[in-house]
Amino acid sequence: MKDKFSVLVKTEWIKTRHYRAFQILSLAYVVLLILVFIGAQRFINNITIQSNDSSFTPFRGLSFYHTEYIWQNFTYVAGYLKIIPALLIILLITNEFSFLTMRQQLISGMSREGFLTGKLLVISFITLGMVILIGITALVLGLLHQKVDDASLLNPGLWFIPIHALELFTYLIFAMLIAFIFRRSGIATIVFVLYSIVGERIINLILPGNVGDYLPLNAAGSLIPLPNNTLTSSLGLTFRSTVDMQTIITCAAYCFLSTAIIYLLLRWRDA
Amino acid sequence: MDSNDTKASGIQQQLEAPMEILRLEGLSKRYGNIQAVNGLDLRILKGQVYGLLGPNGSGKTTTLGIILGILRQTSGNYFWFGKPSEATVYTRIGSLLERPNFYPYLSAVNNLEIIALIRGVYKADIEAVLHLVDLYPRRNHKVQTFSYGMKQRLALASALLGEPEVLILDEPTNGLDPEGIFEIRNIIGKVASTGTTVLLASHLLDEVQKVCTHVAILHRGIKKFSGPVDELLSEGETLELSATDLKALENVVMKLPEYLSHKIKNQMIELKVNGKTDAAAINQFLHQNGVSCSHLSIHKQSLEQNFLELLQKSSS
Repeated sequence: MKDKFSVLVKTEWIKTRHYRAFQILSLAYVVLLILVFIGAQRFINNITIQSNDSSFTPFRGLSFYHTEYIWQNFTYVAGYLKIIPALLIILLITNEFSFLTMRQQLISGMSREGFLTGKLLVISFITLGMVILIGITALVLGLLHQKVDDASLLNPGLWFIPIHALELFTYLIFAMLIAFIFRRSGIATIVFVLYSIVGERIINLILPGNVGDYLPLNAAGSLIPLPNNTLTSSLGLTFRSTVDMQTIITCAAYCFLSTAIIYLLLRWRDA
Repeated sequence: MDSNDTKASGIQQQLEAPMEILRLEGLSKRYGNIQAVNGLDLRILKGQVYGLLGPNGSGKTTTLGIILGILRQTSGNYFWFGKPSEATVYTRIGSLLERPNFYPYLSAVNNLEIIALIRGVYKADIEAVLHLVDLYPRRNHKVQTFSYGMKQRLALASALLGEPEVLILDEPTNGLDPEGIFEIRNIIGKVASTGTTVLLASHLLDEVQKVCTHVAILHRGIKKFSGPVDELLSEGETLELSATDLKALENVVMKLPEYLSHKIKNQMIELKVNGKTDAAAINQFLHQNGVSCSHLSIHKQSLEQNFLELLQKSSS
């Protein structure tokens, strides 16, 4: 078992680390993430509010790195960048079909279950790498901007890190499902992007009541609520400040369901 | 003979009987309205070099795809080493199917490392097979820089990794120059001489005749022949006979117990008989019936002629 696991990790690592798209997209994600985290405060600093005398004055007193909100702020914003690893997953999987390397691995003795496990490992490691990156960045920037009377960084908000991991994992598994269904990188990418941008919104409009909230990307996207901080409160909006357990269960169910569908596709379709 | 002797002789027989490597039972594959493979039965024993012959679209690659576990059969079954197939069995089989399948952005070594890891083969084997297919100097080059022939040789290297018990090759000389074809044929010959069972699909009949001990001929997914190459070649054998009294010779020839057909061409009788042609026995029969031959020779058809004849018969 341990041997099989190590074989899968090693083979996936060889395939992935030399892949130019992996190198470029990973670098793009890291750079963008850090830029967004640093730039967010500058953006907030530039927000002005209309005062009684109709003049615009800077909005003060809000820190993106406030220890109380930092974990939610960072994970919420990072959620907007998850399309980058999703595209990478689509490329990594569709490559196996366009290069016919999946069939090469199957005829070399890899089982279909092993192949799927390998891809799940890639998604797990990418998810892990990204949340570690977010965690470290939040910790560093939080410490740098921490004031003496601020609360500790190690607060209940840390809970948003594993929740963000679930968000990423759900999103990437869904991208993997699209890649396994369509097998061609171009078609899979277009379908995934269209579905995530407009597809789910249209379905949401058609579906009655709040059923649309349980669509896969909606559910993943709403795991981390919009931060309920001074700025958003001042705009008069109401927000959830806690993670909805029903959404967590929905996402976990989607992960399981997508994996099951992929397994059945692998099992019943010709390679 | 007591029961112990019977048991011992049974064990002895089992030890002497060649091990069954692959058995196909009524294997069929349908793509919509197209019947790619139709009720194929085949048995391959240890050490045989089995050729799978057939024109394009005869079902060779589909058959190999099924037995290699990447295509699902519509009906029928296949057994590797006497057991229903499972993924681990393929670590004992080296195969090259249709065309080389590699990650173009990886080097030859990296691509082979992936196969070696899956098959549980030592890294040192990679160097050995790269030497064997003459790609060692290009081992660190990306596969996307390789010519088709080089990719084909790399595919053969991946099939040979870990000295597999069975080697399955689908058109292994495709895209190779004459020198490359000669080298590949030599490698297959060397591998076969070590007792490795080889299943070779090809439409190059000359290649099959030179390398294979057994052959199966497929046409439109149906098996038309399977057995030793010699048996197929003997089916196309004719005996050329002539005598001063050609009419008398013709009358006696038709009385031969193994007589099948004959025709007269250039004052010569071309005789076809059932089974293997035994020239000496036929000569004796003619002599006993009062005919002396002035000429008697066996004319063998090439595998190609036999193959074409078989296909013509099957089409008509």
